[in-house]
Amino acid sequence: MFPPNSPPSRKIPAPRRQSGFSLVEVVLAVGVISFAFVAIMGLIPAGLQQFRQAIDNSVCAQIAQRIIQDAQLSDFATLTGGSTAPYIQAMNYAASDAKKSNPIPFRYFDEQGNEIVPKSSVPSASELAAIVYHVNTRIATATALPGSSSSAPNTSLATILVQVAFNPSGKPLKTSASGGPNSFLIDTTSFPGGTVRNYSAQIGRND
Amino acid sequence: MKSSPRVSAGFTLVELMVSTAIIGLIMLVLVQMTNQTSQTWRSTAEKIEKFQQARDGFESMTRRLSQATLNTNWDYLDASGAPRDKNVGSTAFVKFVPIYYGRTSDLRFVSGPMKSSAFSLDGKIVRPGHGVFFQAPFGLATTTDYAAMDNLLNTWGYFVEAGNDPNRPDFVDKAGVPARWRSRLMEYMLPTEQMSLYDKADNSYTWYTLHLNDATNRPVRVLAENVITLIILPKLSKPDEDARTRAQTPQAAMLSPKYIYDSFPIAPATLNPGASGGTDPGMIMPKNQLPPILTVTMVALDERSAQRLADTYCHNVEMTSQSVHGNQRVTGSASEMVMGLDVAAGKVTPAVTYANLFTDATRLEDDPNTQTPGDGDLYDLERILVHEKLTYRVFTSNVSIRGAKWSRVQTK
Repeated sequence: MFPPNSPPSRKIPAPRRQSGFSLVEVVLAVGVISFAFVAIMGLIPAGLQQFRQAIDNSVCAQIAQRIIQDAQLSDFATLTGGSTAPYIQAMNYAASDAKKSNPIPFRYFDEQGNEIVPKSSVPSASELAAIVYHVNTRIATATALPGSSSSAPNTSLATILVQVAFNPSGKPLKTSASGGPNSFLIDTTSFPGGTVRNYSAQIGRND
Repeated sequence: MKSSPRVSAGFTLVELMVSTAIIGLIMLVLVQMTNQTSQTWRSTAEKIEKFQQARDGFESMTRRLSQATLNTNWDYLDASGAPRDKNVGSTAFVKFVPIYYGRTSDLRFVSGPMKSSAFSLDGKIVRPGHGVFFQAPFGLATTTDYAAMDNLLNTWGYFVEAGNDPNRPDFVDKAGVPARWRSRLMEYMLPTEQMSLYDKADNSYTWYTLHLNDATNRPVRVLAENVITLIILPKLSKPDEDARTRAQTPQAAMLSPKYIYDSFPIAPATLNPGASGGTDPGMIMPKNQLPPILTVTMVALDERSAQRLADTYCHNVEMTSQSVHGNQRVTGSASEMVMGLDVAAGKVTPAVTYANLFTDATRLEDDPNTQTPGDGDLYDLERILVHEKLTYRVFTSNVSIRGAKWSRVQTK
């Protein structure tokens, strides 16, 4: 039994109303959302590319820094001695080449910047799979100083140029032959559309 | 308002049981996951902590090594290649006849096996592994007058030594507490005021051995415990090494095939076959030069393994002096000084002669006389440690010395 003085129920059934969204509303909302979504999705590849490039930049710089430091710790005469002056190419040797008699122009590094020494003078397919950077090093045995005559550059100052090529597909790269300012630089026709980063440093004779 | 005739007011027993079972299952999985995570966490933390001290010591050592300096200059030399006597007015000074112009330095750098004859050290103390001694501007001084000078030159060094804990207070030893026999990485840090380079004959090693073997007040401190060996291999940079290999056999091409490097060699030819001169393109003349690169390798044990090793092999502990803490001189049998690893080396197959390890630099990673890759001295040492069921870690780093200006100019 309900007490007679119980308050009257407040729930008054509302007149029948449409409680959902109309088709037009839904279509509009989906349109707006998908527009925003597409714009955001479009940013992802660009962001990833930026990220990849940033990693690439730092690894390349690291490799170049190591090679330049190695050169700075070397004897100046060994570094600049060679028959092909004024430009010399720093050479690498395969692991099987114990006598260092068969020079190869490139040094190879993996994605983290660790050096990969190939077993034979041409990297095998499995080695190429790990190799990401091909590194070419050229040393100019003399450097012209500002104010001095460029025909008689300073022979106690060498310029080392390290070229780091991002070459994960393992294209066979070539370097230009000796002669002219492009001697021993990576031949761009052998690497169309590829990225090559150049780093240079001066090394002074210090006996 | 009227309630409907049949309303289930609660859950049925079956529902409850099913839900309990599901919750139980979830809880079980959760607890297991938490357990596993904490276990992984703990073991990782333990692993890191275990070698924390060794790692810190290694980092400090490599950082300081990279600051080694010789501060070379060019000066007149006489016919024997010696610079002018430093005592102005002395007979040698007056009679000096300059013949050559060459690189000179007042400072020194030596590294090599601590038991080699290059280090004229007291034979009673066997120090396992290699040592390195050099000068660098670390600014360590004991008097307050010099405290503000941050770049004062110090003689510095690193080596491994086994013995009782040198930091133990005197009364602990007197109370008969058993010795804590351990192998330790030691840092030699000579304050500026004690530097003896200038008042000793140039070609002696007294600039560090004098104080290294002192019974009291040794300028030595423990950098890391449970370091069983330290290996230091001076190396040339890649361009130099390649050039030298072309002209030499791979063995002779090394900067220090016997691990010995001395910036003031008394007899260069015996230390290094390449040092004898000549016209080869990679000629090595370590005189007054720093090695460009040092490959530093250190092998450390964890505390439990070291304790077991000491319990097994180090019994006849005798201490000649028990002076105030930090100044204790260590002596023990040769076997104890290598923590009994020489005994253990005889038990592995094929047996290893512990004393021969790390004396030939061509064998460090790989034995060139065998076809098997990676069967060098490091592998032999690891075989001994594995045989003794010890937990160990090998630290390796290539230290490039900033002050090194490698050059093959200067023949005298």
